[in-house]
Amino acid sequence: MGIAIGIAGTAKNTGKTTTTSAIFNELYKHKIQVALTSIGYDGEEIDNITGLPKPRLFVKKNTILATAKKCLEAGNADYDILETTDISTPLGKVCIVKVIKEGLAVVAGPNKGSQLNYIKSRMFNDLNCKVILVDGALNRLAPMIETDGIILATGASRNTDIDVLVEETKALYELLNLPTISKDDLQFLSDIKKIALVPKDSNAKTVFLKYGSLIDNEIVNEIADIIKEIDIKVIFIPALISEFALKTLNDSIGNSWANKDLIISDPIKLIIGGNPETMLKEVNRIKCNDGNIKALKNIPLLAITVNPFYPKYRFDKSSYEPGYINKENLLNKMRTSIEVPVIDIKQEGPSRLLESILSRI
Amino acid sequence: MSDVLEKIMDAIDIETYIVSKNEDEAEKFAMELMEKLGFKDISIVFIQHRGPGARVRARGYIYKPGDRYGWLFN
Amino acid sequence: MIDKKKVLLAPLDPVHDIGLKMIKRGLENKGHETILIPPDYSPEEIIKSIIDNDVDIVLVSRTLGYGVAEVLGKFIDLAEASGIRDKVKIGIGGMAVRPELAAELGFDAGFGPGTSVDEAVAFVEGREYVPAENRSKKNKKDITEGYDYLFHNKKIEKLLDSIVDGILDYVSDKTTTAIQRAQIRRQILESNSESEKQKLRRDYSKLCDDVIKSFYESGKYREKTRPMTNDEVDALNQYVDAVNSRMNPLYLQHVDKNPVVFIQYGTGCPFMDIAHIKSCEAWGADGAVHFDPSWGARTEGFLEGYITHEEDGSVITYENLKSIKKSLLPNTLWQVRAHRGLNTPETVLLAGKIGADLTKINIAYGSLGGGTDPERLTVDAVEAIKYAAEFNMPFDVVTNEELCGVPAYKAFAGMLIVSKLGLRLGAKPILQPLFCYSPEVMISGQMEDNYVDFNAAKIYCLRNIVNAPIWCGAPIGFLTQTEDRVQSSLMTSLHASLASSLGVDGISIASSDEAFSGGPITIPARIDTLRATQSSFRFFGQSNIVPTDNAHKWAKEIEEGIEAVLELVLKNGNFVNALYQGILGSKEDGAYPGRAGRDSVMKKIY
Repeated sequence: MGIAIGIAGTAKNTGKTTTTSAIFNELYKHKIQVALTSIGYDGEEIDNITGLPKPRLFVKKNTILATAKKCLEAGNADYDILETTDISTPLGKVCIVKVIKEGLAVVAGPNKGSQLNYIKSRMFNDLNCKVILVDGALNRLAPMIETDGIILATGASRNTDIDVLVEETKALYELLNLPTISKDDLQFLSDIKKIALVPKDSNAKTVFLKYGSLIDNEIVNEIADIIKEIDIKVIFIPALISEFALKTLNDSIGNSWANKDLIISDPIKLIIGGNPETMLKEVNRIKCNDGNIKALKNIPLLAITVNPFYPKYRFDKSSYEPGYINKENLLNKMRTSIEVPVIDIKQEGPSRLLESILSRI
Repeated sequence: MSDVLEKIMDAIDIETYIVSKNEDEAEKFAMELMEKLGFKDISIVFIQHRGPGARVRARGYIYKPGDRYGWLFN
Repeated sequence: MIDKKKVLLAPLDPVHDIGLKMIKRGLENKGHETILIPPDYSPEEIIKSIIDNDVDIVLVSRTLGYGVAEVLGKFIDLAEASGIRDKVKIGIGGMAVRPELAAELGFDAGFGPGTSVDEAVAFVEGREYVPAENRSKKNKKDITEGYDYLFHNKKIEKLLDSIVDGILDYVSDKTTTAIQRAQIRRQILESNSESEKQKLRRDYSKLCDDVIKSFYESGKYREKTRPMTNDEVDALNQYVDAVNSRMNPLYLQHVDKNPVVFIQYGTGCPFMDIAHIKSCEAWGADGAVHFDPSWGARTEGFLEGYITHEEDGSVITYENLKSIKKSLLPNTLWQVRAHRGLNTPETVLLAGKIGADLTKINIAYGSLGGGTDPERLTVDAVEAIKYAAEFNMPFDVVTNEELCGVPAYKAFAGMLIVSKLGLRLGAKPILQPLFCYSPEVMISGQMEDNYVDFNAAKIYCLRNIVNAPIWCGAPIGFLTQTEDRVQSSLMTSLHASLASSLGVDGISIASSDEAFSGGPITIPARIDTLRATQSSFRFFGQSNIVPTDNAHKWAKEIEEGIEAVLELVLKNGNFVNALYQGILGSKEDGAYPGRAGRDSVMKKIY
């Protein structure tokens, strides 16, 4: 079995493509069968003539790709189409292809988790891939649930204030690395689609709500009312948790968190619901009130790549020029706060990045 | 495509407003503008000067009837 | 049977998108259930509504461009994280949306500006969207249809009949070289023998002016004309085929009563003419009027072959006309003018042979404002009208002598005489009053207050006299336009709507370059007025422009004036003399009997 790695950029120009290319090259060197797909596509650079994204990624022979049909015409790599899937995108059906002539490629893959899951199983089980890279963006995180870990590309393009950048990255790290529940303990929850409140009394029945997501006052109030009536040990929320609703829940039940577990499906459901730092604050409030928060599955943050570059706007010239924040400072602060490899890929190269991947295969 | 100008069917009109003292001056500026832009066969189609400046439509013909039109042959 | 869907329409904006409301109506008409939620919902609230209402499809609108990628990407993520993504199809529409953006953000469909309601309905119904063929198909309209030419003013009819009797009597023993050339041309066109054609050409050239004669005898071209090369003709054919394959013309008309719209072309170069016609067709023009060079009207005889010309007006040859005709869309009305000059019978013959829809004949204008000798044109025009009748080509009777200064009532008298002559010869005349700021009204002040009343008076007057088709020309709004393209287009479009309001059948419109004399008309200038006319038709719809009481008063005065002129024509013996004497437009008015072809009328030899 292989590993599926998500690569998420926090903004344009954070070096996601550089990171992906670097990992690719390293895997090629180790002769590891690699596959690539993406969540939708990065439409940043549209070729004005073809109307398609400009190819930016160099792929070598035998690489497996999952990409929309129209993208096969862009770039100069040649492919053998192994399968045309039923997955439709506005750029045509997603095809699984093998590179037969190396060159530049455009990848626009499926954009739903369920579709990614299908692609993944074909790549691992039938095509013998060892590493699947999933190209993504911070505003399209949901399908990343299908990966085994994420590499985050961030940098000055996201924010030029190093402290803010570090805070945000740290919050993402903390949320992505939430503790998971033990294997036998409450794994039955994974089949439940609605919010479930499990009583302490093992003879009492679990209460199910109408909704799977914690997204508004109505749902928060319902939970709060039940907690007043019944002694609950687990609040399980299988779907989305919004920042506003979690804050309201904390405000409402506050110190009743003691000896209770909030169990969520995965950290992505939290990160999508709001600002990571605010979310982390609410998570910490649960802990401060002696509650626990765990996930059925986490999507560990494997590594962080940083790019000090950003396009700097010059008002006097009405144009952009290259700007840089202090790289040493950025790396130091990031490394002290977060316990995963923080890499300047342009300078250090991908070997350390690869270690964190290969160690998981 | 050798030159995008060959895709112009007949002419390019430049419409603008030129800050100027009077119509003569505006016309002079408009001609200067068109020459600067590299047009050869220039006409001032419309010019109207009021206090602050002139509303101008200047035209540079790329092709006139009887020419060999690039858009037809390429 | 399409299964009925439940659709949630959600604006992700602080304001409601009108597009969503239109789509809502479209979906409801197809029997789908819709829920339109208020514009101030947060993305989370929209997600909750989707869950609460258990919908099949969500259509999100986002009009604001700022931060669109972040907002919409987040929305899709929320939908997926809340577990509804696999159950619900999500489409996105709005000004800032492109299909590529929708793909990037993970929507199932993206609808940008210009999306039709049908497209959104197709997405909801899960079928592929096929753009409807532009209504059924653009039809070629016969603007004479439904007119019986019944005269309401019997006194005028009687006067006209007497004058027409006089004309037919006058021409009965006369002929011209133009008539003879037309007869030879017909034989050339109908002959299958090359040697016979060569002989006929020699006969033809003997009846021509020297400049044409030298073409037939020694292959010399008139100055400023040259033959087109083979590669030019090939390139033209390829251009036309390529353009026709992607034509999907716009409609100018918004309601049935809107008149058909003609444009006039005549750049001198058949290529440029065709390029202009194709663009005008694409932007909705219903018809095109062929303009020939002015020297062509003063020269006895026509050239042959594909010929281009450096000045205004496109040279009439069988081949030139044929290539233009071939380039037209099947629905485009095409008129070849034969209203003046020394070749009118042959012009109408060629037009008829090639399949033109319409021609233009007016003896009064052609001789008083068009430079052709009255007697010559009268004899030629009778023959030309006979060809028009034979080829079933209605002809308009243009009254451009008004632009010289001839008052409307005199011009109308001439127009009615030629129209009656046409009816007598079995043709279908179309009245062509001008919508213009004419010298007459500049002096007499009928347009001091507005441009509406006097133009309306002309139409009221003609409608009072006879039930005949009316095509306002040419072009409408003449002398009201300036070099400013906005002003020019506005004037054209308002005159177009006035014509529509008055129920006329056709109009000819100028380009916004109408008043610019410093160079050729450009294609953008044509599109300006086509778009303006379309907008004006859209604006007025079935509503009407209401003239003041002056319109009916002046209509009566024009009608009385016409009667008086016709009586005077009759009193003076015959129509041709009346033209020379200025009864239908005098030197004082600004009309001068033309000299081209003077004393060239011959006695028929039997």
